[in-house]
Amino acid sequence: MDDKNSLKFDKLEMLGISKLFPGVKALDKVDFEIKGGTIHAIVGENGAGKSTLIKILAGVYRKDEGQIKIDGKEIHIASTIDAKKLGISVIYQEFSIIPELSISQNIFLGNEISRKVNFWLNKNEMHKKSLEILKNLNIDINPKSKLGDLTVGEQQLIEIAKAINSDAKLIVMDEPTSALSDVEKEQLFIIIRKLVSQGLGIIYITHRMKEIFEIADSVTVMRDGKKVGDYNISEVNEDKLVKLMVGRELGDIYQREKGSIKGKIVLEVENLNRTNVFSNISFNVKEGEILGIAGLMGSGRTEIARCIFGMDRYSSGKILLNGKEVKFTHPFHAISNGIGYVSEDRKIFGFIPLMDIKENLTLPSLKWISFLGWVNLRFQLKIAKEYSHKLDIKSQLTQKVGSLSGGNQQKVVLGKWLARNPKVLILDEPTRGIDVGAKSEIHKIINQLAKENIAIIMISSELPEILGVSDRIIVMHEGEITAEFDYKEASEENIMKAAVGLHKSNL
Amino acid sequence: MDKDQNTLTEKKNRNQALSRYPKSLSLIFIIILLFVIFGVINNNFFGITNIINIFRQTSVLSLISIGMALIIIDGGFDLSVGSNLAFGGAIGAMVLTLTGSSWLSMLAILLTCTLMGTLNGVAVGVLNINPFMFTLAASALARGLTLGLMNAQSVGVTGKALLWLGDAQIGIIPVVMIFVVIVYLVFYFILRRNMFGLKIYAVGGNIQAARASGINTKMIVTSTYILTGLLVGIGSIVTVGRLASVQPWAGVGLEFDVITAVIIGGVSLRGGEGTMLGTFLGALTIGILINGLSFMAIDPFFQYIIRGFIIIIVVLIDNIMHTNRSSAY
Repeated sequence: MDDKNSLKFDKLEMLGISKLFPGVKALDKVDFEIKGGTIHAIVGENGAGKSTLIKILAGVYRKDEGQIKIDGKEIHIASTIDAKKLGISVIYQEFSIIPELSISQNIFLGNEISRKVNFWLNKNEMHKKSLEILKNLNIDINPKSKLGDLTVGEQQLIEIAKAINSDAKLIVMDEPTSALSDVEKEQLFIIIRKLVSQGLGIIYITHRMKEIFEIADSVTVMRDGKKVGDYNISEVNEDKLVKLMVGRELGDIYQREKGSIKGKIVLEVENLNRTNVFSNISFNVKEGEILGIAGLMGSGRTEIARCIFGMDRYSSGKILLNGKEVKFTHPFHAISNGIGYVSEDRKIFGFIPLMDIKENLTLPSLKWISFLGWVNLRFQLKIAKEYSHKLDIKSQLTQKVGSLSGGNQQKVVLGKWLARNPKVLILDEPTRGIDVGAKSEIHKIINQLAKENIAIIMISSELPEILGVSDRIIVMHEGEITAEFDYKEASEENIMKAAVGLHKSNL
Repeated sequence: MDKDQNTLTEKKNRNQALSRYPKSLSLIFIIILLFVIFGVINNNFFGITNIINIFRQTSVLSLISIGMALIIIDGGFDLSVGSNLAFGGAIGAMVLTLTGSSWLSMLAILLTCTLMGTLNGVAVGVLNINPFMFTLAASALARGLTLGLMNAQSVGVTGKALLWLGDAQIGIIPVVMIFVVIVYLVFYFILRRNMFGLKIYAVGGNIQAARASGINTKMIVTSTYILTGLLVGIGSIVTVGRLASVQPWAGVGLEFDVITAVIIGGVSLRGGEGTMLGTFLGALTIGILINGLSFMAIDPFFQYIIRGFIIIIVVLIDNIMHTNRSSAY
């Protein structure tokens, strides 16, 4: 801290950074550069590789390839401690602070000052220094108060103070404003600008386009693990950034032939309620129809699916299958009645990692391929072959599913439900965390299934997917259905409006 | 790629090869090694009588290891097997004195132990109580009841049917040895080809996904404890037969040996993994070790130290294997 120069750097470069996760190239030879004393934003869709890049910088992941240089000198970051020593500090969306401790204790967490003669902490010294740091940042809070008593915005500022105290030269902020009010945001921006004027570099990650133009000097756009480009903030505008991020016109997303489905209603939900989770949910889905459910995460979509599938209980309302009321108390009942559910979290609910493709594909079907409990192995193999062929799973049937790529894992999960010949298939984020190629394959499969007269409910947070695949779309906001659209009326704009609760239509 | 990463990938490859390496094969190697070591130290160890003796001594351990393997595959634990074995014997002795019937006595032993297993199973599987704590409590309970019922005295028993399984021989081969092999074969097929076996692996591998696939996970977990109870009951009958008496302190420390055997046999403490062949070889390894150490008249305290070390080594290996595998996902 004494040597003020240590707080500065001219340039941090990441050159040709690659990172491979099994089956997915999360980063592909990405070059990134930030100059000291600037605010550099990184934007991209979910899965574009932003957070992987940051985690490599922070020492959470190790790069497979590439170099990191500060002022032209190569540095090695093997752990978070290394990163900290080099002055790289990351403030994540979830803070790493302890609410029970005081502010000064938090600021000095892991960096405590102790008295020379013994190991007791020097509280006065820590208090004095905290006060200094806070004053320098124009934060008017008593360092002795408990951190838990502060607002989220203030806690965020303490995180920054903590980073400053550990001699950070470069602070990475991951969605720093997601929980802040407008006033708090302004305060944060003032502090950021001040830090930058002192020579620090800030990497700013956000989904909020407006903020980038308010605060950033330059911006890097990422897509599918690659860098699209670096831009001076004056070179771009919101529209251009979005286009660069998405990088494709809607035409690139799989478009199926849609129509108004006239088939009979298979599944009907009437006034379904679950206390504090969702309320008055009514919808139906017909044979051969794909019903899209749009909405933000946490809007209650997954919970409805779980209730239909018998994984959770609902408090009131009815679920009708082929016109008859059903009450499933265990997924087994739903499965026996021809319902399949591909969960949003396939690692937790989708498959058994240590079991092979064949066993996973036939797991829900065991009862139907066994005689007196003994599994008909020939029959099992036949089913496994049929569906791995149908879904084009390019691995040996004896391969453990845990070792497959995300796309192939998802195909196995889909396949195990198809093997049951379902009448209703609920797909919850069917292409989450899957690379682009496998994504369009899965969209084609979904289309094929609709053609085979299966009633499909598809929950998705990706608007292009919802628009490209669904015949009909319902939108949820905070546990309620706020809109329903025919595929002809639906657009990104009106879905988004309903998803954030801006208008209620057609109800 | 810099040098660091080269060594990293090399290490990864080597470890993957290691984890693919069949555990059973290395166990067979260990068993042969132990045989040679003990045999060289004491030539009598190689004698056919001693080898048969090892199998006989190991029979109870092997039987109960089957149940413990199923429990651990499903992510559970049973510390009560030793006490339940003694408790079953105590009830059996009581029924024998009251009725004089070997058959009724055997039935009582099986029922008692299965009931204790059911108790554990319902507590862990249905009520979600921590298996470690509950079976520890059940163990204390069963041991206490045993000591109370028997007044802490051993009881000599007679009765042809009751003693047959633990005592009878066909030629020089003990009946119980054949019996153990048959039970292992049955469970081998159950785990490989039966719905129940596949469900056990599924529940152990990922209980949430298993439930979402329509498996009654509570029932599966519960039944692993019930089956273990039944096997403990059979083990109890074998013990009574071998000793021609019921001992209130029978089975003390048995859970220790059984769990060691199962883990050595390659059942992962994290669940979802393990085979009957491995379990059998694990039990045999422990059996040979116990026999060999006592053959060499090694102090009991030293035997405990050796067993302690073995467990630590095995758990460390399990840990290393797991770290590699999780990095492969």
